[in-house]
Amino acid sequence: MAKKRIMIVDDEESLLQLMEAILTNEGYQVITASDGKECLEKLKTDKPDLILLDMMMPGMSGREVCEKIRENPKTKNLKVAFLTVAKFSEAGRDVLKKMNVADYINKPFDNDDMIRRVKKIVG
Amino acid sequence: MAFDLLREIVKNKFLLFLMEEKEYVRKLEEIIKSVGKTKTKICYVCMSKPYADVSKELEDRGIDISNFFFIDVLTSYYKEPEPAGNCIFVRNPNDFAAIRAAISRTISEKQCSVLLFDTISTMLIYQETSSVVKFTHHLLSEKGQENVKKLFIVLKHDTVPMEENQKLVKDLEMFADKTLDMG
Repeated sequence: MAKKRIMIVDDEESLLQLMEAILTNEGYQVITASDGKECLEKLKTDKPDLILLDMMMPGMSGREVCEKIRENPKTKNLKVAFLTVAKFSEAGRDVLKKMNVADYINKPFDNDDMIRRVKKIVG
Repeated sequence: MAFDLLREIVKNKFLLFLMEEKEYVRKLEEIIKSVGKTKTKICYVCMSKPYADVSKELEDRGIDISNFFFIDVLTSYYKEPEPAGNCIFVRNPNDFAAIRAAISRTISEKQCSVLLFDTISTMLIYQETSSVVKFTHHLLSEKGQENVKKLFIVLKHDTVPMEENQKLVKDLEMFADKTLDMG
């Protein structure tokens, strides 16, 4: 059976490496991008089962990247979960629902909790 | 106004106030007077006007500033500021790390329970939107400040491109307990 593919988008190199190591160890195939632009570029040829998208990145915020993913007919149905340092407000969680965001993971995260959430979304 | 300002300030942790530039002075005064009623110590970040002007304007309007502790990011950039016991002068408005450190120090040393950021949209003059939002994120998730109320002023038409201002508001709204359009 083909491995599930996860794209991690974050400008923190050390976090990218850590998440890549954890998720690879769990049997996922991991693709990484260090900002929104690189993510959108990679999505032209790659269709991951889940995109883990940092909210705060240089250039484009996670919200903007997610909006662009949803605007594009080829990527609009991809599963997205946010990585965030600050906690979303109730109004923010409503926006997440409207953007069809599967979940959000607060940083710093507990590794087991992060794995559990990813598994819940992609299996 | 369709809402009770004092009630909103008491009820919410992170409030975003949107206002037109022509209404700015009047609306800001309403906010400050409402915050003043809570009888708490206030960390006031002067991003758009120097401390000397802000404090004088507040006093001229009869506002007691004995509970205010200021962070001025403008004066030192142009001249050597006159030392003030209730103000930290940050040398460069572009130095977000120094502004953040000054805020943390003021909140911790003066035991402020309200942070008033006047105005967050002005930061867009110095850095790109994502850097301003990231800065805000850090402020919101600062350890030891969980009980500090954060009130951010955004001018709807600040001296930055409209598109950037709207992006900032959209990103901040994701974390604000409430966005209040002051008109």
